[in-house]
Amino acid sequence: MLIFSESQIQAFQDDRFDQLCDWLPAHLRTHFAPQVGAMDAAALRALIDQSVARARQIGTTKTETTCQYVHLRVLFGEGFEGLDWVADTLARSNLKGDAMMGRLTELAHSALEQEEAAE
Amino acid sequence: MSMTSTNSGGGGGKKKRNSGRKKKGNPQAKQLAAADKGVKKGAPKVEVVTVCEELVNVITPVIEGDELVLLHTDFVNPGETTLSHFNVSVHQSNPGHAPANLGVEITYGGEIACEVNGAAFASGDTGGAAFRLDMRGVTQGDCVISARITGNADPRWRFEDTPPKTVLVENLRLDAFLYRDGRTVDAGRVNNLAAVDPHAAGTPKTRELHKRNDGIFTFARFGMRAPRAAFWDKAERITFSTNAGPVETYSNPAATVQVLNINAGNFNNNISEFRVATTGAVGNLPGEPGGRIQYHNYPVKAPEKQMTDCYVSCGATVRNTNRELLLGDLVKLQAFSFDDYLDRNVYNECRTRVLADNADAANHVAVAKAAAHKYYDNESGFCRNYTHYPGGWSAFKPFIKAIHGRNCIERYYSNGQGRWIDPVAGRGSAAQAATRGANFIQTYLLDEHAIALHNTTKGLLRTHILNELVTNNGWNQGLDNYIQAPVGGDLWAPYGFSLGDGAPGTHAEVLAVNEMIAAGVPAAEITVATYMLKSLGRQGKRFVACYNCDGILGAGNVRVITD
Repeated sequence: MLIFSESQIQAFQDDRFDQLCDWLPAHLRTHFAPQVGAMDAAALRALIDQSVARARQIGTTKTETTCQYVHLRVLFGEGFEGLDWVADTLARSNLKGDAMMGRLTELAHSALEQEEAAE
Repeated sequence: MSMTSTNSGGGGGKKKRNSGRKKKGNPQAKQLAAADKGVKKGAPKVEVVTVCEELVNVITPVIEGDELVLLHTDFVNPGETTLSHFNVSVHQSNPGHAPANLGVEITYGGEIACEVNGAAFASGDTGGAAFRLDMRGVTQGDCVISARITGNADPRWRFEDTPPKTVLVENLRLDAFLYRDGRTVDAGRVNNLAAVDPHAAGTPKTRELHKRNDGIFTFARFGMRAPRAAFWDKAERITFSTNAGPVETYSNPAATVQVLNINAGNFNNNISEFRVATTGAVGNLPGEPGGRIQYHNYPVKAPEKQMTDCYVSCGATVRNTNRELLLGDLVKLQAFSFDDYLDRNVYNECRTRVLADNADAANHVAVAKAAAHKYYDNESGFCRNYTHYPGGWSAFKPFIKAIHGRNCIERYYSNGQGRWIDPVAGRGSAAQAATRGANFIQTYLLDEHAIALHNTTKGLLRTHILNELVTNNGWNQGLDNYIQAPVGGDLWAPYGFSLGDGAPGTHAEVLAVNEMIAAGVPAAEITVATYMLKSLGRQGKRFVACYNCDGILGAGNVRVITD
C-alpha cells in the first residue's frame, strides 16, 4: 500500500494550483473582458496569483470554489472583501473554505440582482 | 433586455416587472454564471484525490535472544546460574489499534523449561505484549520455540505468525579428578575421567585441594567434557570461573600458565583438561608454646583441616549476543594447608596418648604420622618408636653386632670398667656391614614387633648406615668408642652410631614413612610429622628427627615438617 505524507500531498496540490493559474488568464479574458481587457499579461497573472493564494488561504480546495473567488475578485474589484456582505461572511466561523466560497457566490448573485432591481 | 411576463393585470405590475428583470438577469451575474460554467467545463482540477483507507494494524510476535541453553538439571553443587532468555514482544505495522488483551502465546518442546519472573511458564502459556522468557535446559537436543499473538479479533487489526526459533540445549560437563594426574595408590580406583562419572556414581563434585606450597603439592585436575559439534555454532567459547581469590585455573600440569577459556581446538579425545591451584603463599607452621607443655592447658586443635571452600564453574559465551551463560553446577574445592593439617593431627594424637597412657608415652617416646601429599587421602597410621625388644632391652647392641659381623666377640674387662670386642678380621666390607645392619633391623622389626620393613625403606636404611660407615668414617672408627665408653653411656658410639638414638630405622617417623612406601608412595612424595610422647622436656611438642631418622628420611627426600 502506497502511503503519502502530508508534505507530499501539498506538493501535488501546489502543482495543480499552478496549472490552474496558467489556465485562468484566457478564461478571465473570455468571461471578464470588460474587467481585465486593459490589463497586460503580467498584471493579470499577478492578479490571478494573488487571488488564488487568497482563496487557498480562506481554505478552498476545489477548482470551482477557487475560481469563484477569482471571479468575484475580478468582478467586484480590489475592495471586494470590504463589502459588507463579504466581510460578514468571512467573519462567520461556522463556514470554512469551499462552503464559505459557495455562500459568497450565492450572496454575490443576490447582491447583483438587488442592484439590478434597484435600477 | 427582454422581458418575459408571466402575469397579466395591473396590481402586481412592479413585482412582475421585477420578476421579469430577474429572468433577464444582471449582466455581471451572467458573467459570473458563464464563468462558473466555463470553469466546470475546462478548468484543470486542483483536487488531489486520496483514498483514505484506514490502515490495518498487522501484529506480529517477536522472539529474540539466546539460541543456546545449558542443561540445567541434577546439579550437585548448585551455584549462581545465568539462564538463557528470549525477549518476547510484538511488532505492530500501524500502532494505535490493538486489542486490549493483546498477548503472546509461547509453545516449546520438552528439551527446556521456562519461567517468567521466576514463575513457571508452561508451553502454551500466554504472556503480555512484552516479557522475558527465561529458559533452562532439561534434556540435550534442539528445541523449537513458537510464538503466536492472542487477543480479541477486530477488522482494525490482524495477527500474523513469525517463524519459530530453534535453540540448542547442551550439556556442559565440568568434573574434577580425585587425585592429581589421576594417580591413586588404590589399584581398585579408576584414574581417568572417562571412567569417573560423578553424576552417575552420585559422587559430589567436591574434592580437597592442598594449598599451593611451591611446586611440592598437587593441584586439582579438572576435565571438561567436549560438547557436541553443534554447540560451537551457538557458542564462541567456554569460560572458566572461580570465586575470585582462592583459586585460579591453569592450562598446564605445573599450574603456571593461567587459562580462562577454551574453544573447540582445546579438546583432545573429547576432554579438555586443566589444573586449579590456590593462589597466594602458604606460611610456615605456627610456632609452639614455650616451656614445658601442660596438656590440660592446651586444647585439642580443631578443626584439624582448616578448609576454605572454593568453587570452580564454567559457562558459555553465546555467539552473536556475546552473553555469558554461567552453568551454575559448581565443583567445590576444599582448600587447606596440608602441613598444618598433618601437624595438628599428630599433635592431637600425641595429646590424647599422653593423657590416656603414660606408660605408652614412656615406652614409645614419639608418635608420628606420614601422609602422601600428592594423593590426598593416603595417610599412615600413627606410629611409635620400637627401639627395644618386648623384654625391655635395647636393640642397639645387637644392631652393632650385626654390623660388626658374626665374628664379633664381646669380652669384659676383669675390673668391670667396661667391655670390648675383639676386632678380629672377618667383618667384610663396609657395604656388607651396611647390608647386615639393614637386614638385622628388618628381621628385628618383623620378629619382635610384627612390623614389615619394606625393602625400599630398608634400602634407605642401608644407605644411611653405609653413609655413616664410609662418609662419616664410622667403619674405621669401628668399636673404639664401644670399648672406651662406660656401660650404658650416651656417648657410646660404635661405628659412628649412638646408643642415645637407638638402632636406626626403629623410630616412629621412619616406621610411618615405611607404611606409605609399602602402600606404593614414592618417598619424595611423603611428608611426616612427629611429636614427643615421652615425659621429657619436649613432651607434647614437635620432635626433631634424630641423627638416624634424618639420615634415613633424607636419603629418600622425605619431607619432615616437625624438624
